[in-house]
Amino acid sequence: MRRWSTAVVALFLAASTAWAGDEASDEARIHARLSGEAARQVSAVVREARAMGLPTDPLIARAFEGASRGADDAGLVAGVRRQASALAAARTSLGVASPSDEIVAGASALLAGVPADSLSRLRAVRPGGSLVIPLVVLCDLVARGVPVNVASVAVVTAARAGATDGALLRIRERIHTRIENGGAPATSTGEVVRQWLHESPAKTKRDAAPPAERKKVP
Amino acid sequence: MKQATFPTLGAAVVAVALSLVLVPASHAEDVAPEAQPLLMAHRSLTARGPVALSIAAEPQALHWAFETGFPLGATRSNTAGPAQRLSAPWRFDAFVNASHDREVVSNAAWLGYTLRLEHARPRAAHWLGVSRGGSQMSGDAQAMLRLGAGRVQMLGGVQAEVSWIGSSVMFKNDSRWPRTWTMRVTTPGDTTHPAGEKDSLISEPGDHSTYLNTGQAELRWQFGRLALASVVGVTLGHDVTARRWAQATAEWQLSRRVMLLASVGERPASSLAFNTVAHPRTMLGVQIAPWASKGWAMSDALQPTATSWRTQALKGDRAVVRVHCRDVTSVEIAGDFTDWKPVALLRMHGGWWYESVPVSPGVHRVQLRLNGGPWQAPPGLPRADDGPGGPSGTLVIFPAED
Repeated sequence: MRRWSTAVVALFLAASTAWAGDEASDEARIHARLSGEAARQVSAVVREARAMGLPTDPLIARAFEGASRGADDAGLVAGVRRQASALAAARTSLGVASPSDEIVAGASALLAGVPADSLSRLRAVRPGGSLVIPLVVLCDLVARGVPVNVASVAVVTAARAGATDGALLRIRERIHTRIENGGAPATSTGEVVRQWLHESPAKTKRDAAPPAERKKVP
Repeated sequence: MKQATFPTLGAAVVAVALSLVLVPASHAEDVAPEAQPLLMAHRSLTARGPVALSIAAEPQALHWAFETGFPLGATRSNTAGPAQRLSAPWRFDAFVNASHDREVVSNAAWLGYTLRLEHARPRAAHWLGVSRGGSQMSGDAQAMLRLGAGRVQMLGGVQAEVSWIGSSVMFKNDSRWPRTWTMRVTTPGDTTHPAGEKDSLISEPGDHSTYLNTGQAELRWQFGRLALASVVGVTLGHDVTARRWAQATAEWQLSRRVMLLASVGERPASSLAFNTVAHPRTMLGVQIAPWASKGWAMSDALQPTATSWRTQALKGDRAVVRVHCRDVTSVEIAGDFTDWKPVALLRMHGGWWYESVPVSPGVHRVQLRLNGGPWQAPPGLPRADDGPGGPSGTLVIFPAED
């Protein structure tokens, strides 16, 4: 019993040390890059996010991106706060157990204007699977001018029909090609998804998740 | 030679004025290279594709030209350090062109061969060239050899060029260039005139070679897909009447493969030897580049674009990034994995640039910058436009496989 107690205390101390180390390292990075007041405010947001269990790297990256693009302090801090809110909302929509990659991708989708219930629907469609690629594809479609509701329905529909990550990326490429060739974004998205659904039995079988393909970098 | 309608004096004044302006500017560009489009790209065949065909309707003739070319290398990359900007783009191109003028039906197509070496800085460029053959309109001589040199300078939004072309030419059996010689004629005597000899001048068609110098000055403006240019020049030579000439041109990039051309005025064959886009006379035409590069020609000249992006995850939280883009002097990336600090890529062969960067598995945002221009989303990557720096790409790194 005593041995177990010692192990638990040691583990707690190690975790606390790592936590404190991360925090100190982040503080040092922030203060090295940002001006005094901006660094103080960004550090406060980062500490708050860490306390909530949210990933903090995206917040620091957002601050650095704003600094490198010449954003003023107020705009920079506002951007970091927006990002923190989006991360929290994404975790709520996707579930508290979601890995940080999904939360980051979900936050991007929310910032792009995707409604939170689209994230929840995607989680319901893929309860145990990764949502990183579906969320990345969703963001990309919105960035290419596809209306948010059309993009959401397209990705959720394809995912519900069993589209793998590879299939979703190919659907995205087809839509992209049609838009580049002059097609209207909404029409092109609808047509490509309908065409994929028409072919989906064969597609699903072919895309039956060869590990190498799932790990392909887009 | 034909007498031109524009005054030689005007051409000379413009050329001298431009030279005076350009000499002091040449020192400034070494001190502070700015982010500007690479000059000369509009002439580069690699910006339009490996093959181009142009057809031009002239008032009483039809002119067509076929041209092909390929870069021969001689590109020097600076690999002193990843943070150092890559520069000094030497470029060596070979061109072959064939053209035909329906006005002279009996002639076969003329073939021209050109080698051109360029050294382009962000705001200035120099070129040297050697050429043989090429366009030979009526009134032009057959070119034995041409040597050319020029300097191009950006003056605000205007591209100015002064150049000289020396031509060794042959007028072959041309009645307008007769060979003249003296013949002593012996006349037999008769009852009224005694026998004797007298000199007689004989003129007959024959070969006549000479050396021509062409000086020219050009101003070029570009507004999106429309490029306007005006060029004036004078061609001088021994035993040849000075030819003063001028031409205004317009080029409209209609699509990636098709460019509409128009010109008013004339320019001699020597002026065409190192500029394969130009035409000899007033015309309306079209240039077709069937295998054009992904960005249309003028987009490459104005704002170079990357055509491909590859990422390969490595062990130890690193990844190799490869970017493909031609006619650029620097490629940089910045992303959350670089703390949004620019990282310069290193030049490889064939238009590829690469760098190994520290990046952990996960979702990352990244941007790309060419020639120090605006940051843009890398080609092919899913986009995410929610950041303060404009469009960016989403890079998903999976753990490297064993």
